[in-house]
Amino acid sequence: MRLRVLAGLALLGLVAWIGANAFLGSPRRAGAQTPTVEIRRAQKAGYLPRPSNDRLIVILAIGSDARPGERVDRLRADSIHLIAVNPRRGAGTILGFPRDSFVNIPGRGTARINEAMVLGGPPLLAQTVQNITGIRIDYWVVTSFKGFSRMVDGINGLTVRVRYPMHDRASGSNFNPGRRRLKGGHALAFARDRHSPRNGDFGRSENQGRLMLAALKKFTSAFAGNPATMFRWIRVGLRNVKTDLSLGELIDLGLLAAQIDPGKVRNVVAPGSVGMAGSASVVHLSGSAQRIYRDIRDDGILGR
Amino acid sequence: MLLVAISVFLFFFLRDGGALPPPLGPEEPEVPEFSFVVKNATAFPLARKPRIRTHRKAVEQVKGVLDRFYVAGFIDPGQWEDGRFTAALEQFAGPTAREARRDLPDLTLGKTAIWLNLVTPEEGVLRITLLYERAGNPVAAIVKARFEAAGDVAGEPQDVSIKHSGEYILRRVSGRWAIVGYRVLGKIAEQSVAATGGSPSPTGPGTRSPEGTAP
Repeated sequence: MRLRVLAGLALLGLVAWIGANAFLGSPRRAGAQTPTVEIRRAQKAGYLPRPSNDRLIVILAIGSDARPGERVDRLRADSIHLIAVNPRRGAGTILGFPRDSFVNIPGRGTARINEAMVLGGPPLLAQTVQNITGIRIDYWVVTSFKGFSRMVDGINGLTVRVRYPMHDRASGSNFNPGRRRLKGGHALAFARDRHSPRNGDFGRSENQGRLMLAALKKFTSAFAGNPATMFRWIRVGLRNVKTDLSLGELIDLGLLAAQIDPGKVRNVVAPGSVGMAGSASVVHLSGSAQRIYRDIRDDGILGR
Repeated sequence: MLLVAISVFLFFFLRDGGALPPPLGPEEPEVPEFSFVVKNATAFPLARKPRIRTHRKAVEQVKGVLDRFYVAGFIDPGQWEDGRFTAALEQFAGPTAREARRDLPDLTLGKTAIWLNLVTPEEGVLRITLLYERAGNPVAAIVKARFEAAGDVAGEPQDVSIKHSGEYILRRVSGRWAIVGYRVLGKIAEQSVAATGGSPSPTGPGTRSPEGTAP
């Protein structure tokens, strides 16, 4: 009798043990047949947002003639650049306009392009450039001499290659050819010098575009090392510009700029010739500029 | 007779104060608690400095996103869902979630999860930088995360080492913080795990990769 009880208990225990394992046991614990865990080498992945529809983004960057105490958005525009960005291709174009370009200003007749900001602020200048080029402008950004200089200082300078001797008392430039790291004041002098470039105002406008490219190069490199750098750039920028960009849009643009390859951004100046309008020296933009506008209008990329 | 057997059986199993014994076979391991440690939290105000309380709250909210993301992606098997990681994906903003789904093998344990019984966090550190608008409200955050854990592999005596570091860009989307961008580096390395009856080499014979996650 006692033996039968023990045998019964043993049997019951065995059934319970098998049952419990059958229901609770993980299939991963397959015993001797379990293979070794997979080994994954270090893998990278990354994603940065782009504007949702990937459409062309165009910004008008304006350097105002304003001195300290003057209204930055109501003085003449000393430098005018249209920046077109193709988000999908991570490429773009910087198109400069000589400040003396003689153009039609909507509702104000024909005048030098730099007068547009005096007459109607950045929106009228943007409208003027939009009418000349047929390229829709999304945003404008305007800074002053002082603001520009502070911005460059705020990002610890810019590095450019000086292509020819630049020694000009009017702008304060004093550079020998070669790679130069420019602090704010020097960068401003580099940007303002129109006597050293062989083609005057056209060369100056090109140099201004080169500073923008130097800034883009510095930003993309800094962002790659530490994305939080973007906040410092945004803060430095917003303290020294006037713009119709919201902070949110500026963050979007910062994240987009981090994805732009500076090597895929062309820097050009609208072609033209120096002439006279009455007694004033002006620049007449040439007909060939239309080809450039058309090219940029398509996809923001010139010649590709 | 059978009644007697069952009675005795129950007596032996229930004699410890009436508590039911643990089920036989492998137990479901308890999910370890995890929360990142914030090493530093920097404020970038566009105008005046944010209030301390505002800053602390923003840091906690941002940390919460990363806590939830790593718990769902690495620590809690209950949220792995056979590699779908829905709860982890919920921490991303809409368009970014689509990209994150594609990058799941690198953002989370990926399919490595099927080999793991338990992941025990060993280190989790965040460095948070917050951007504040002029009015003093936080609008964006950039977070550097470092996470290390030990993974208990089914049927293996040794743990695997799990290291994951990432940089995350967060913004406030529809009233909540969400990840809008990321850059991650994931590494899962075997620590002398010998294949059953095979080579101890991590990449040699005896090592098998789940489909789709092989390097």
